[in-house]
Amino acid sequence: MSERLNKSKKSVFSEFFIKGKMDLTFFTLLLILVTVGLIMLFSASYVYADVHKNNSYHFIMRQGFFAIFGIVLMLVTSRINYKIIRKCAVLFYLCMAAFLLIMLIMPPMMKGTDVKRWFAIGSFSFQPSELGKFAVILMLAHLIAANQKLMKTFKFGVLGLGIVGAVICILVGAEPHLSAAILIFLITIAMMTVGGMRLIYLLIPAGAIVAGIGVLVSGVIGYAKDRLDFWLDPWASASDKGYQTIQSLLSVGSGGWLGRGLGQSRQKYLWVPEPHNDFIFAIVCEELGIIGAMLIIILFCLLIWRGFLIAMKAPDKFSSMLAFGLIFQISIQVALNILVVTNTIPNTGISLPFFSYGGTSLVILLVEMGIVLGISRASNTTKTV
Amino acid sequence: MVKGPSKSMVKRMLFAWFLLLAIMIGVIGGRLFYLMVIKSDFYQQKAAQQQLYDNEISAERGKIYDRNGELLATSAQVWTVFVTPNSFSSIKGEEKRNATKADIATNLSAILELDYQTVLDNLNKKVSYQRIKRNVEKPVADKIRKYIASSEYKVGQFIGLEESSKRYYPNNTLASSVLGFVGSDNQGLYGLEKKYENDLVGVPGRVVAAKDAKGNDMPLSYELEIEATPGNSLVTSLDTYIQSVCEKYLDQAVIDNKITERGAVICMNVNSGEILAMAVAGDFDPNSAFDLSPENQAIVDALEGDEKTAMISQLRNVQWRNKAVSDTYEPGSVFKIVTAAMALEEGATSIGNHYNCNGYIVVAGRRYNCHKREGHGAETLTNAVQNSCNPVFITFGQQLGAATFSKYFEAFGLGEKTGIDLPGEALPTYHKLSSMGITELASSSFGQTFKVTPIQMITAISAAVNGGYLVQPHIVNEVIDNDGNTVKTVATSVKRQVISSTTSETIRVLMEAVVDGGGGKNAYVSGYRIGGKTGTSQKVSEMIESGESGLYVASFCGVAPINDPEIALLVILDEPHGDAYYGGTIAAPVGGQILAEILPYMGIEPQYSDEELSKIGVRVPSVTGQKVEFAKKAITEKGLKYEIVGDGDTVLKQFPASTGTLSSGSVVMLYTTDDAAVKKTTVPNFFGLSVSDANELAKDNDINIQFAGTSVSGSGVTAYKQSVESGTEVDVGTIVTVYFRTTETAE
Repeated sequence: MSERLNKSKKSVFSEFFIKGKMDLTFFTLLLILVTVGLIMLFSASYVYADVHKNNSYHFIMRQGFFAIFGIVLMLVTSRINYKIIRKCAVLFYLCMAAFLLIMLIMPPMMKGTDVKRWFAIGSFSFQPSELGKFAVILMLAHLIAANQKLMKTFKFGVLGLGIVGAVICILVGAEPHLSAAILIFLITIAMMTVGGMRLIYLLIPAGAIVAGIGVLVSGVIGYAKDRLDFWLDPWASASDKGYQTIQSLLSVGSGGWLGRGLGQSRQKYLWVPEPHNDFIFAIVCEELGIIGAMLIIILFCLLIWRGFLIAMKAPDKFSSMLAFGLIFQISIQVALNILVVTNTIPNTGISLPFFSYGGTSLVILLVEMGIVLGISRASNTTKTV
Repeated sequence: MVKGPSKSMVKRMLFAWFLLLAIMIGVIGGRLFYLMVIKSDFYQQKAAQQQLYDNEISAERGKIYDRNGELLATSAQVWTVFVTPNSFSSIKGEEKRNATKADIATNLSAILELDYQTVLDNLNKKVSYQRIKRNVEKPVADKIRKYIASSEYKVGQFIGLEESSKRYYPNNTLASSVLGFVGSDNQGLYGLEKKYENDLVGVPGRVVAAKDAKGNDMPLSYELEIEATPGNSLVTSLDTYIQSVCEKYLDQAVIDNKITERGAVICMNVNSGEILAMAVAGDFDPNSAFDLSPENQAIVDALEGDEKTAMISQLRNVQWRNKAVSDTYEPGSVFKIVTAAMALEEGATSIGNHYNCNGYIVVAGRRYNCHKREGHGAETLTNAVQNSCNPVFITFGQQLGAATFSKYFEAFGLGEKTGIDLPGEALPTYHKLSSMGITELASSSFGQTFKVTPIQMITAISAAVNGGYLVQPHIVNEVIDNDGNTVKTVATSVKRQVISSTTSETIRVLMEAVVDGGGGKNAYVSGYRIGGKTGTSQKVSEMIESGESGLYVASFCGVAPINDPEIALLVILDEPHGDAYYGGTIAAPVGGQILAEILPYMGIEPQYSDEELSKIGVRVPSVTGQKVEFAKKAITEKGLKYEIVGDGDTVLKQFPASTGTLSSGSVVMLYTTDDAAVKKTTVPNFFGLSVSDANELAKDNDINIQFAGTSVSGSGVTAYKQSVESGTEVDVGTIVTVYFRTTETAE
């Protein structure tokens, strides 16, 4: 009796949790990036925090707390069997779609703004699009893994999967949250392509990108057109709309080879607006120079490489696609963020993973990394057994 | 079926990885290299432009000293009070912000004596820096600091005090025409302050510091400070004491003689060209140079609008104008010294020559009268100079001829600026050789129809008496740096020798005769050998212009000691409207008064004749507290008399006190009892009395008389002024100074 109970307990346990060793390299790289991210957040934010919050430690205290909480959650998540997560994919996707739709219908929840990208209760707030991205990745991984044979068809491989991405993409874009929409769009294309879509169909998203750029240039979306204009010539409105971009460039350009030294940024003295958010990498450049900035980029590249390895070695197609989707999300965010900071592309408003301030975002990110770690555990289990 | 990802999936993932790597390293890395390495200088410079502020630290302006190291001009530390209106945005809440502003406006307006609303308006401006008040002195600045420290609102972040300096002239009006003054940015506007601006100003320093976007200092350690180099200081040849004596008597003469076009006195070392004093009446206080005198302010207040503005500016320009350097005048008879010098030098006359004056001379059909219509009759050269006889000097001019006259005129420096180190020196207007006819030569010979500046005139006279050398007049002797090291020394500069030393010696003899027994008698100072020449010139062009009559310039030029000249003194009184206008009557006494005070000060020992000795005052011995018998003896020994009041045996009080001087034979009152009533008497009127009559009257009234002014032995000498008004009730024995002058003048 007791043995049976024990056995059934064990099987329930193994169904929900995985043993196996997680990918320590990936985990270490993650910890290094989170730590460096926290140090840089403290450096970038303490002047702003002192002036606006009367407390230099305002941002670092919160972010530090969320980082620890997120790492704990990550480790817990890494133990969860991804198959359980897969079972939730459809439901989670539909819930997110419904949630985003309600957000659109309801009045804006964040005070003092008319955009609906924030979900807020009291002092707690987060962007549902963060979860929206995850929902799309999860759903696509599930569908691609389940319908491998249909991948080459237009109906499923392009249209079906495309709609999965497009629904969330449009809902998020309507908030409006253009940057998140762009991310979801790019992630969807990447996952479809890796999932086995015929490469010829890439012409469709390529066409969509061209059309999208055309729409932006035409000025139908007012705020997007503005951003485009001062991307091309930020000095023309240096004191106005181009201010943030200019301040970012001044900060980056001041870095030189070795930077001014950790903590020595001058631009963080209220010149760069909200230096702890999307433009934190500008402060990194100013303080650590091109050497430091490139080292951090290389750290990201190593993490991405290690993540892709986990995806390539994953025990099944679902976990492989899931890991790929999550890692690709991080890599595309890093790339776009730094491209914005250096004014290589127009300002979109994408934060830098593990660096930019944002507790919920960091926790979600770490939990997602926990899933990737879980997949690495699973592949290690299958190999040893 | 493969359990893991398919080969194609892995392949495409690898492709994605390479694509991302290309973006990360290639695109982003390349972009960062472009921004951070290639364009680094550009961005660093741009960033510095907005982050760094470059503040000038004003250099301390150099000081100005007199020849004895006494301060004439210095700079005091003051503060500029400013506010930073933009930083109010850091206060959360409209109510609290307004309360803070109101608190600041209330306190600043009270401490700085400003209008509340004005201060509040400044606080509401959309600027990061707003000056509230400049030149705030230390006590007021301390009050502001106290307020900042004690305010319940944290006002320290909105109010600032910047150090700067303010020019300060410790002696107020003293030598203001020479010193000049500075403008609101401490830049020299007039006088030495302007002339020596480059020496005084120094090199401003800089502070480079980093500011955040709100204009506050960044707490970083890259502040760069380049210290300011203080300006150099000037050591002038002026002597504060001599300057004050000159000003005292000039100012008094301007009042006494109702002078309307101001007056000037220059005291110059005849050998070195150093200016010991340069006084201009009706000058200003450089501490508040823009303020008008009460009389001028009254004139201005009576006007309105543009007229008022124009008048203010006109009167300011007048009070700032250094009459001794920037105004020209017809020197009149003082110039005859120059004519005499050239005639002697050219052999046209000599000391023993005899002349005859009929009261006029006709030159080229034009009749020139002597000021003495009936003529001086037969006279020697000395007499002619003493009498200031016009026909004789016209004769000299005609004998020399225009060419020689012009040559000497210019050689004496009268055709050019002296080059004195003061701004705004005027050019003379005179007949050049090409335009000089016989009549122009005739009038020029006695100092009319041409105009020179007072500084030119005294420089020419100096050359005539110092052995013949035309020296460069100057005010600054030395420029020293902040540590007292000499930067520049002004040595005596002789431009040329104009006449021989023999001629110069003869001139000295002639000039001494003028003071001893000629038109300059009123400048006589007992115990000293003084030479001089008086002048009274008609302001012909001004009279024609204004239609007024009787406009004169009365002047006197004295030299002492005349046997070995050290100083020359030129007194000019422009347009007297009192009871006399002759230089010998009104300017010469000023010269005498000044010389009487400055010659002993300069350490030149007086040498009295026996007659003079009898008239020299003796110091009253101190006998208070002594036995009566002892007191009697002490006073008698001094040649004084005494009167005892009371029957005590000890002197409890004496009058005059031991600080006074009395002429021999005067009475000292000795009181021997406490209750003895102090004897009173009334001061009589001495005006118009001769020396002996005045003496008599003083004795009758129990007044002790002290003689002042001209050689009291001369004929026609009468009293014209007394130190205590007649009718005043005074203690018996009070010393009253009575000023005498001769009314006989020779012009």
